Formats: sequence, C-alpha cells, structure tokens
Amino acid sequence: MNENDILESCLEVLKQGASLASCMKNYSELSNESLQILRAAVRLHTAGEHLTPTSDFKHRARGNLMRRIAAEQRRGMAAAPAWDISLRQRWQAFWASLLSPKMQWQPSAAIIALVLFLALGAGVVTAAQKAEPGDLLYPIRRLTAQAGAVLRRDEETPSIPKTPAVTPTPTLQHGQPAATISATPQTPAGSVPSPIPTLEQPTRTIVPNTPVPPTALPTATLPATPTLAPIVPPLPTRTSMPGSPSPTSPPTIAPTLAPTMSPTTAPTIAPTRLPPTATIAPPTATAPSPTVTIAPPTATAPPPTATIAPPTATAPPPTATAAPPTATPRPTMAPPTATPVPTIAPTQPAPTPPSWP
Amino acid sequence: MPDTVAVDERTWISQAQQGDARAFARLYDEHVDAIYRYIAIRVPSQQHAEDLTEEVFWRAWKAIERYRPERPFRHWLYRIAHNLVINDARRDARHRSYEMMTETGQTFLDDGPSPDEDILRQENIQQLRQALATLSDDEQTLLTMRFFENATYEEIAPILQKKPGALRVLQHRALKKLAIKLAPMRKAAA
Repeated sequence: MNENDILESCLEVLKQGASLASCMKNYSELSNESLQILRAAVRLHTAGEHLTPTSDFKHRARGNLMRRIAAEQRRGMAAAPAWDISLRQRWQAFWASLLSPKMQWQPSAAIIALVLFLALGAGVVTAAQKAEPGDLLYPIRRLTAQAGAVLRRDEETPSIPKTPAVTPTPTLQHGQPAATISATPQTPAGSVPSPIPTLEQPTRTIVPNTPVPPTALPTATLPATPTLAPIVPPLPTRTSMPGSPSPTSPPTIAPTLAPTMSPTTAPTIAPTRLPPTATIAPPTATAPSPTVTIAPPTATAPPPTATIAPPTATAPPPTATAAPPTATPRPTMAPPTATPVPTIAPTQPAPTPPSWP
Repeated sequence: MPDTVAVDERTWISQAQQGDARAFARLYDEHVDAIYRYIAIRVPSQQHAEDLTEEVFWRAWKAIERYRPERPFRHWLYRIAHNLVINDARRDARHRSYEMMTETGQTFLDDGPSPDEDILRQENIQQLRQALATLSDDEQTLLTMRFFENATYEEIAPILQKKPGALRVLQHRALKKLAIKLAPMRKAAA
C-alpha cells in the first residue's frame, strides 16, 4: 500500500468520525507531508460541521422563495420574471391572446383592429375615386357614387317639388329662339317641351367649353344616343361651332346657359354622373346639350331629375349676374339656332362631317 | 449523502415539476443546509452566503422542469451553486476584497459575543476560507463536497465533468496546497 492509498483510507476513516490520532497509530509510516495533508482534511471536515445556516435565515429564505413562486404563478409566466420577457415573447403572447379559442381579447387589441379596419376602408375608397372603368377598384367607385346619390336623394326629397316649378317659367321665356326645336318634342310629358327648346341655346353656347369636358360627357350621354339619332341632322352645326361662334360666344355663353340649363340638364346627368357633375360645375352647363335632344331618356328619368336639383341650385346664381349680358347673346345665338343640336357633337362625331358638306 | 434519491424526494420533485410550490418547499428543507455550507466556505460574509443560497433555490425552481432524475437532486443543486459562486466571484468586488475584510476581523460568523470555543472555530474557518480562496474553483468544489458533504468521486464527477480517477489526483494536489497555506497560519495562531 503506497502513501497515496494510505492517505485515502485515512481520509475515509476520518470522514466516518475517527480521530486523527487513531489514524496515525494505524499508519505510523506516514510522512510528515501526508500528516499535514491529513490535518488540513480534518480541519476542513470539522469546519464544515460548524458551517450551518441559522434557523432564522432558513425560515426567512423559505418564505421569500414561496412568495416569489406565488407571484410568478400569478403572472402565469412559467419561468421568467417580467423584466426577462423578450419583445418576441410579448408579441407572441399578444397574438396568442387574439387567437385563443376563448377569445380573451384585450381592449387594446380590439381598438387596434378597429382602427386598422377603418384606415384600410378609407384608403380603398379614396384610391377608388381615381379608378377608371375596368380597374379593380372601379366597382367600389360606383358603389360609393351610388351610396352618395342615395344619401343626397334622401336629403333632397322635400325640395324636389320646388325645382320643377321654378325652372320651367324662366326657360319658357327664353325659348323663343328655339321654336324650331320644339318640333323634336317627342318627349313624353307635356311639361317637358318647354325646357327642351331652351336647352338648345345652351348647347350651342356650351360648344366653346367643349374642348375641356368632351371626354367626360360621352359617358353620360351615351345612353341617350339611340334617341338622338333621328334628330342628328342638325349635328353638322357642331363643326361650325368651334369656328364661328367662338369669338362671340365666349362672353355670352355664361349668362345664357345658366338660366335655361337648370331645368333640363338635370334629368340626364343625374343618374349616371352625380359625383362628377357636382364638382364640375361648368361642364354640367355643357352637358345639357346632349340632354336636350334626348327627350326620351328624360321621360324615363323623371325621378333622377329630382336628384339633379343641386346643380340647378348652383346655376341660378350665375343667371342673376349674367342677366345684363344675356341681351347680347341672343343676337349671336339666333343664327346658329338653325343648326341647333350641336350638343350631340361629342356623342356622334363621325356622322356629322359627311352630312355637313 | 444518500446514494439514491429517496422515494419521497422523487415524489416531491415530480410534484414540483408540475408547479407544486409546497413540494418544492420540502426539497428546500432537505437540501438547504448542504447548499449553504458549500457556499459559505467560499464567500466572505454570512449575508452573502445567505443571498446566494436563496438564489440557488430560486434558480432551481425556475429550471426544475429541465431536471432529470438520472442524477441526485442535490448534485444538480450543487451544479447550480457552483456556477453561481463562480460567476458571483468574478463580478463581485467583495470577493476580491476578501483578504482586507478578514484582516479587520469581519467574518460571516461574527454575530455577537461567543464563547472561546466559537472563537477558535471562527479562526479555523477564517483560515480555511483564506486558504481555500487560493485554490482553483474545481479544487474548492471538490474539497468542500468531499469533506463537507462526504460525497464520493463518482458523485462529484458529473458536477465537475471529470473522471473519478482525475478527481482523486486533483484532491491530493488540492489538499497539499491547502496544507501548505494553512501551516504558516497555524504557527502564527500558536
């Protein structure tokens, strides 16, 4: 047995509680160095026996531990204190609460969802305002326009009876030059003929403005084109319109159009283009031209005419101011009346050129 | 130290792993003395030893789901304490100023008047702690487990991640260094 083995057996005996003296008696051949090692081991062993925690500490630490565990369990976070929860864990917990079968929604989540929904809806509707036919958002634009029309109709229903009553009287007075046009009155209602002749004047005057709106108008007037076809002969005047009337008409146009347009224009424009007409006040004045000839559509459209009241409402103010100038326009307008229906020009550009010469 | 985990202890561990705080409290009662001793001989103050002991059990609770009963629960606690003491010693300035504290007589057993026997015991512990502080972490852990807890080499091996034969050699070398450190102290005390 070498010294290292003796040392090991001695250490085992010491750990069993034997004294160092008894060990030295059994192993007298131990060197001085080994004795020092054994003494160090004994000191270590005895020191360990005296290193015991106080009962006060044990009780206090036990209480602290139980409180921390209880607090953690209340938080429901298995093994992490609140300050140790990462952002990812919080995000996961947020979505877990949203998607949990119990649907334990947090108020903040509901608010965020509502705001997102409203923001997305507003964004789509706004984007749809610029949509063209065939675009993905165009149906939304039509929906919003229809919704707006319905709302406006609801608001204006009480005022409807007023607009027809007021408008016919002024138009009839101005309708003298348009006597030829009264022949066209294929229009159904008896009250309609009166506005129609008056419309012819505006249509001619509108021509100068046509350069701007022509693109917008076609859509509104398209439905009316079938009925217009028979009346088309006068269309040739359209070609002359940009040339001859332009110098004289520009100043006169504004005043004359205002009064006459209000009653007749309303019916045709209203159904299809409420939103644009509202914004494009001047174009609406030009639009009437097609409407004049389109008596049939007006017959079907009586209800919509009521909705067009807003444009008519806006028109009167110009008439008031334009009253003085109206005197001048009449002379200028008279000659062209022979070739009245220029309004159709935008709708049927092709046929007119050949017929004119 | 028990060679195998008692049946009761297994039950407590299983219950604690399912969130039973009372079962964990029983585990605490069973092992707090050993863990405290292991820590107390290696830190300079009683308060520090108490704080670290409490922290060992808190970390054990947080990680108890990861405990596997293949090895004794106490050894698992020792492993936690071992890492905690080492990390604490590295960052805590108190550990570095240990010698200065002991020179002024400020030890963790200084709490009020004590009989002569206690004074001698305190001196013994103080010298031991000073001498142990000069050893490596592995040597300190080995000696404290061998002579405080009567652990076998096989039990200590997984904690220090060394083979039992290597631990035997390590113990001999550590005791030799400790004896050399304690010799002048004993002469001075005499």
